[in-house]
Amino acid sequence: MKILSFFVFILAVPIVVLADDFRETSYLKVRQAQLKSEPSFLSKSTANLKYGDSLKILENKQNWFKVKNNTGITGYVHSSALSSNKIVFTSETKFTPKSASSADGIVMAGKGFNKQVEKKYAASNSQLNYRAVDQMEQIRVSDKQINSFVKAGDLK
Amino acid sequence: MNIKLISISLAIAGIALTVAGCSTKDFESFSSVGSSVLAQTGVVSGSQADAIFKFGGTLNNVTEEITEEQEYYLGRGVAANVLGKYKVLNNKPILEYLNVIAIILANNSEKPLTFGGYKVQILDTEEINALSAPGGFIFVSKGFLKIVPNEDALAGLLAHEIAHIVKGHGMSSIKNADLTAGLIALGKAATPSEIAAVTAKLTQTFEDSIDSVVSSLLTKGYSRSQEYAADAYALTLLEKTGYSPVGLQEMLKSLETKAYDNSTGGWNSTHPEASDRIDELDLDTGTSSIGKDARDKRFKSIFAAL
Repeated sequence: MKILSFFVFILAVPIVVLADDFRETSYLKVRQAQLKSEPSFLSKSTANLKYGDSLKILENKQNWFKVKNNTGITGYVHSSALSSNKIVFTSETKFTPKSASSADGIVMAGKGFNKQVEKKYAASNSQLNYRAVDQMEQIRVSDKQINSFVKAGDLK
Repeated sequence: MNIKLISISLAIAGIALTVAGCSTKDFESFSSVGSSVLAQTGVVSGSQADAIFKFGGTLNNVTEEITEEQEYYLGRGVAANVLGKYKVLNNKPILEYLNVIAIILANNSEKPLTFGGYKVQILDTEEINALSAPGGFIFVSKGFLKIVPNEDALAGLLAHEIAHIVKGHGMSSIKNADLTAGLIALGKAATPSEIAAVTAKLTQTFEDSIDSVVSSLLTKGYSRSQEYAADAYALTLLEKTGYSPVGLQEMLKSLETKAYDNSTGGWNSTHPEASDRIDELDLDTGTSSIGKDARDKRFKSIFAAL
């Protein structure tokens, strides 16, 4: 019995490690999001996430995934923010990896429609107002505002 | 405990630890070999094999080349057109109110998070109009806000615009073949000269795509079926959020009874008749909504400044 227990123990350690390595990895495909303590936007935030962050999927709860970020913090993210495609960042000064597309499981952040294409478009169209778009993007609503608004209006 | 048993146990542990030490990259290699074999034996096509080259072998949608980030840049382009045509109304309390409602509604949708998030802006015009661009940009005119009767109706209006974004109606007006071809070509370009050549063409595609969406929003409108689909989805959003679905009907009735601009562009040239949309609504008007009184009260207070 002691020998069997020892044998099981020896096997158990790598299996536990192995299990974690085989968990699927997902990547944040939106510019920013929060890890939530529960599968609800009204719950507390446990961490801030940014575009391209890799997250290990621990559990799937309907439209939410329980994940672990690379600092070990766990929480929930809505599935609409996640992609199984790895997001790779490049800059003009760095080597640009060859022929990557979502069919290869990789997305090149900033390739295709990006700031440079937008600049060219704006330069050739004087009637565009990108400054007003930038100001519109500065509009912010806090979790606190949302929670008190929902509560006061009996909303969900 | 005998030496033989310890050796066997350690050997097994060693093998297991070696495998455990494999990163997911190594696992990808295993998938790659597997998918190559599948392709070579004709079980799947070459492009399907590429897509299967993934952790766990989940088949990706290989035609989905337009990312959230790219949709965001298209949306910015559309927004820049709209904001080049209309000035913005400076009313912080109402602006905040609209944005909070939009986010609460979006949180209950299939697509609560877009690349840059949902944002609502007020256009300073007496025209009655509301528009939404890919990526989450929503515009409501001062003229439209003036005919909104209460918060649930306002939520109905915003839910309809969010529905267009969630359902991808703006993106569907773009000639997808040109867009996808351009993005795939850029993905394959490797040298600086290849990238420059493809980027120049892509910039034209970018402009053409934005023009298609702007034309839908400001001139042609979406199809009748897309408008009805947006209304139907808006009803479910209202209900999930706790608003009365009757709010959308109230919004449409308000549109029906108020006189509006008959010139080119504006609400009536881009949407079906409000009466037709009311007829299409599959609505249980007996539904009561908790909290309506409190919402009506805060609406009156905030909109007093309009």
